[in-house]
Amino acid sequence: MSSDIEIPHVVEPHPVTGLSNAKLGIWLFLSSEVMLFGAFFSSLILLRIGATNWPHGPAVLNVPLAFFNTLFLILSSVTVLQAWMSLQAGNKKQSQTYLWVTIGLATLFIVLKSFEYSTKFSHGIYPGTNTFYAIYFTMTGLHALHVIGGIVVFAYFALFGHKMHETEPERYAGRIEVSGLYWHFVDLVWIFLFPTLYLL
Amino acid sequence: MSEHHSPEEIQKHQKTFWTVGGILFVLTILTVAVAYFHLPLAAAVLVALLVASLKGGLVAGIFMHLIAERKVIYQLLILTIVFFIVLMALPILTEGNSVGRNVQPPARDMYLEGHEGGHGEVHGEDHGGEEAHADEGGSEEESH
Repeated sequence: MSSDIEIPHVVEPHPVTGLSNAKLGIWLFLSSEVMLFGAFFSSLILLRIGATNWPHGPAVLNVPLAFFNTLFLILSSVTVLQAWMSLQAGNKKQSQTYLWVTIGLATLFIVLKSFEYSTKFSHGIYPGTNTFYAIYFTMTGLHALHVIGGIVVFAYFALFGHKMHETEPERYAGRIEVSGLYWHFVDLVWIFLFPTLYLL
Repeated sequence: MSEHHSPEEIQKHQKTFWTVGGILFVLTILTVAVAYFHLPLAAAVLVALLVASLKGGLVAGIFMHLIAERKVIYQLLILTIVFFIVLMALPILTEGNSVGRNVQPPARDMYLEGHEGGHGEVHGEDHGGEEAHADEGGSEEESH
């Protein structure tokens, strides 16, 4: 950052909270995300218990694709942690490798998701088809947008943001840590989306 | 966990993360396997949510290191959980008609104004019928 204004407590903990501002900020953001996805889960329950007929997930959705997507997200959560841990160990090269693996896995998730959507569209199934598909496309679409958001953030770090490591290594590690927290949340949401939409 | 770690500690953490990742893999396979047992709906929901909660607990506790965090984060999350529970309770209250009954009569009267009676009578409850035939259209699609 070439700015003359120094942002306080980006690395060292704030005396009041005991946390860096970055970490407090990401947790506040994640709390709002809990409410956002919570509203959709609540809607899903409401629609489902109010419906006279609700399809069994495996009969209408592609479970194998969603299963592999679950594995990709879990694995990517581990690799982003390894990217952060590698920085703690002072091994930036390894951290970069793990970051690229994370981006690769997240991209695979989006590729499989686009296969899933395109199959639906080719069968004439759209969000307006019925209530089930409306909530399916809304929830998986919103989640996919979060995955794309994660890819953008990680790609920024892998391509440009990593230069900060040369001047402010701790601050850079903090950035990887907080973006990792966001990524685990995206994983966490999928862990609940997968069974509720695809398996029940 | 933003403090400094010794190389041994880092190695230990790295190992833990891989192990937890492996457990999450196994639990994912278990979730899918259970879905093909065709359990009664209530049991299927219970098992799926139990396994998902266990997986979620591992991600939040270990990956997001909530097992050892600062007090402020716990306080923030407790507040979030309280509101989250309210959100989740809304469908139950609605199903129990304690929410819907209070708001529906005036809304229905307004809706019916200028219409012939009956059409919008159960405006908030008839969506299930609409999807009943639409669902069947999608059920045979996509087997691969």
